[in-house]
Amino acid sequence: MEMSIWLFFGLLVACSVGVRLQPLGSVVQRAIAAAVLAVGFLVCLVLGVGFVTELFGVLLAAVVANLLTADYVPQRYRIALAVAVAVVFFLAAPWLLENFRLFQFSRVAVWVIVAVGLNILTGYNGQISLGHGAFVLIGAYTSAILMDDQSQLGFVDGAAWPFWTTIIAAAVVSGVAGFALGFPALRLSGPYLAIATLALAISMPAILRKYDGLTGGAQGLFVKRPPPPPGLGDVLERDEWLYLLCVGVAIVMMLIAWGILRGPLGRAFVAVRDSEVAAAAMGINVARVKIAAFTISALYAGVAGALLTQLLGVMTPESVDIVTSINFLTAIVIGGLASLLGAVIGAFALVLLPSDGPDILGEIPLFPDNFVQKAPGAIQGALVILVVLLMPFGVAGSYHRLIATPAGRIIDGVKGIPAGLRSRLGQVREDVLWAWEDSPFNRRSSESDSGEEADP
Amino acid sequence: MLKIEGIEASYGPVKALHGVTIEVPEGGVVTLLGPNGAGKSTILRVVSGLLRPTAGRVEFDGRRIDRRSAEAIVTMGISHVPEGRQLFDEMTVHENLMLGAYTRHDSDGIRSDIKRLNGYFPILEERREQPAGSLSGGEQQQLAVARGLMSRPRLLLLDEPSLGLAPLVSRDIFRILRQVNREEGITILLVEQDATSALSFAEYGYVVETGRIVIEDASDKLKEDENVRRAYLGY
Amino acid sequence: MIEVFLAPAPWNDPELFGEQVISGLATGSIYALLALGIVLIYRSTDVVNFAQGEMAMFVTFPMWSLTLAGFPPWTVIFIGIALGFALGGFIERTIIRPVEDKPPLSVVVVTLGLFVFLNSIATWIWAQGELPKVFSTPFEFNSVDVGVARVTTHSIGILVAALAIMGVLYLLFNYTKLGLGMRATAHNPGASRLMGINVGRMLMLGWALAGAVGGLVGMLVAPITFLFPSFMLAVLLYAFAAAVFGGLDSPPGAIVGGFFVGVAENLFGTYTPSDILGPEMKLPLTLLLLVIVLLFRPAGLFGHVRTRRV
Repeated sequence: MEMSIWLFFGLLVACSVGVRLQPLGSVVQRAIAAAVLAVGFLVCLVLGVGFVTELFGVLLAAVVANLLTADYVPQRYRIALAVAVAVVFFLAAPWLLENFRLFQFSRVAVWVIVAVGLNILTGYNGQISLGHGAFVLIGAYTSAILMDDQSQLGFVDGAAWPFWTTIIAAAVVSGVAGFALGFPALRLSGPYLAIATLALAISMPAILRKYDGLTGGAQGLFVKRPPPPPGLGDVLERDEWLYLLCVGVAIVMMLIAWGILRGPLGRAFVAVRDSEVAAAAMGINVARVKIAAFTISALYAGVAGALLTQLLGVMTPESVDIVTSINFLTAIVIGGLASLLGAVIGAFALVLLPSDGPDILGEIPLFPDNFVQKAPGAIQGALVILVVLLMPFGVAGSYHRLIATPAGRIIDGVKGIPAGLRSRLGQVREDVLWAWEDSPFNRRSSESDSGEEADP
Repeated sequence: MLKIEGIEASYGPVKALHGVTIEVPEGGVVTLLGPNGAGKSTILRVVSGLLRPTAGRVEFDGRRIDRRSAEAIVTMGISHVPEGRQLFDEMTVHENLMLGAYTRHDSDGIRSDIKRLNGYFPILEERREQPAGSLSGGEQQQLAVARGLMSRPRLLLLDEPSLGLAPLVSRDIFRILRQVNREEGITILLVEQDATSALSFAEYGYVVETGRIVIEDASDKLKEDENVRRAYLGY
Repeated sequence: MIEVFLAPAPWNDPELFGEQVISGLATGSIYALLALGIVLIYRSTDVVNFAQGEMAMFVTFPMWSLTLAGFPPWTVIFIGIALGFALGGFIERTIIRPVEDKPPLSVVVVTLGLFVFLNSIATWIWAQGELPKVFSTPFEFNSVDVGVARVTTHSIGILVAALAIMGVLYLLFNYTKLGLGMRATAHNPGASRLMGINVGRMLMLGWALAGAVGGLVGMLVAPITFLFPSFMLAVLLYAFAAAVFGGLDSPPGAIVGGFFVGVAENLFGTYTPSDILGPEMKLPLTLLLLVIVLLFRPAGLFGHVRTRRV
């Protein structure tokens, strides 16, 4: 992964960790740490050990950011600073990143929209869905069909719609689909809903292939990728414009989600998730709230689908396959349920893990040579399992907890590990002793047992 | 027979017991009284191995049991009839009794024990093939006690056997429990909200409040105690 | 009306109908077996195991290696069942137990992670060289006339094997102490501990049995579909449909569901109007039927709706 991405992550972490953390040591200590890291960074850069260099880069960025901000920037401005860093990076990305990265990041932005929507449904409202791929496809095809100028399909009125109107249309069509599916979902609980939505995601490609008069069948539909708007044509290439479009829409959709979730509807979502009976007792119309969650969530997926059509220039039934659909859920769980940050982290993981995970781990000498290249899924799967085991609230959950913890507590916690380990080991030893005393191999205890029983 | 010394226990961050010491003599009947949430059930859960104490020790017949698994403790002769009965609702009455005898391997003994228990609880014979969930509250409680006795315990832990039962039904259950205690010499540790029946049933009582023992004495003395009378007997 | 059918109507060609029903029952018995594995795991640990198909695949590939090494087919089948048993138990102990008390969604994601993990490892180990691989069957592929229709001996073998496994599990659950303990654990783990049942061991056994049944399914499916890392995916989807149709906590439901889904799939593929539905739509139609059933019985035909405390 390029240096600029790592530096960005480092800065972001450093600035936002600074929200609650005390300065990491005195100014002199931090300066020394920064110097040591800088030397390590340069040495590794010269030696060309990629992954370690990038790690040094992140740490260096974090320490420097802490050095620069912790003493001078008041706490409440640091989160704003972190957001500012993110915004500046994303806006500057077209000039910082290679084309393939830019495309990846556009995709991340699209998945962020899906993940935010799914998080509203699953994380905040407690309804599980493995079928959001279907809603993405509905949105994507709505956009593709409306943008067709009768060259592929013969039934819509001749003129192609401008791309931005199809995004709105996709949102409406997907939202209606979500609204319609919200009703049967009311009757289904947990695993049954999971499998019913999975069924939807599986069926969608078959349906799209079958009714090819409307959808172009297996070869799909081609659309003209929208060029930059007239005034910006000189500054931006088409890919860069599409990237900014995706990021811009993603940011707007996140702000809308943020607004919904901190309002009365958002509180109703959470109340229904925590206890339907209690929510109903408070006067919340449970059915209406659950259907609203399904509708909003599908609407988000539809917007993402329409953007995906613009980005790819072609839409086929396989553009969003069943694995992707399931991965949306995986992404929000490892990113962090009921957290907007979790949706962003999850979307990044969804795109970057398969593409960069093997390369990064390939530099760790622990693994056999061809393993990481030949079995990238093994690492992805193992990582997913590890995150769930180690961070029950996802990466974002752990992060929220970390920044809400004073620095002193973290240091105490680290110090506490050896003591905890020692007492745990003592407990294991005691357990083994008891197990031995119970076991039939321990002749002494079994004899005394039978003696006791014979006595009275 | 059972010695609980200074046990402390917690559910996650919430500490439920702050050093509880209790002794139950062989063949005796001891009761734990106290308001809801005082920690009475928690004490039973610690004894039967469902919850590990964070401090203190539990001894049964002079052997330490507080680090043993619930299965091992059943095998040693302690049976716990839990709060809310916890029957296997979808399984038959007979299957519930067989599950009570899960740790035993003497099929002849199990058969004769079922016959003997049917003497105490004739209704269970009649309902043998019915799902446990279809029984009435009183019948379910009888089944819970019978199931608890199927492991041939020497110590029976009873958690609120009269909860939700009509006074006549609960009097019936206490009559059978007294019979079990006298005729078979089974020691009983009883948790009960209904202090009147508990104190007339037990020989010795402990009053538990917010995870601590506040008073302990022989039942007759407790009945006279001013505080106990006011708080638990209601006169 | 009749002309729009893809095939002659059942009353015009009873032989075709019989053939469709019988081959539906044969594939249905595969779905039933895998669904049984899903139900065994759901009952014991409350987990919908999305890795069930990949566990079967992970057993079938080494058995293919054994076949190459010259082991006779029946020996391979029994070793495979044993391997599946061990794999199921191992997975429960190592990665399911630590997440047992976590929210159900986390556990679902763990099985999804396991799905990806096993698939990828198998690709790495076995899927180098020519794919798909041929997997031999001990039942051969001879054609037999069974009165109304002709079917292969392999299909009959699957049906017999499925019925045998169901019989063995029925006896285990209803007539042995171990089965009694497993059922009790599935209903009420807390009370089971008070009965002296080693609950951890029962949960592990549930996964192990599911692994064994899954391994057998893998080895029965592979001769038909051939062997490649994702060969169980389609079967798993139908098995999910079967398990949900019958009720996720009901073993007899899984069996009924399996046969039902197998037959329904074949009939939908044969007897729907080809211009608007037809064979390509048999999966969506089967799933639609499933969702309709769920609307009327939200916990499947034989399942129990779990009562939740407020």
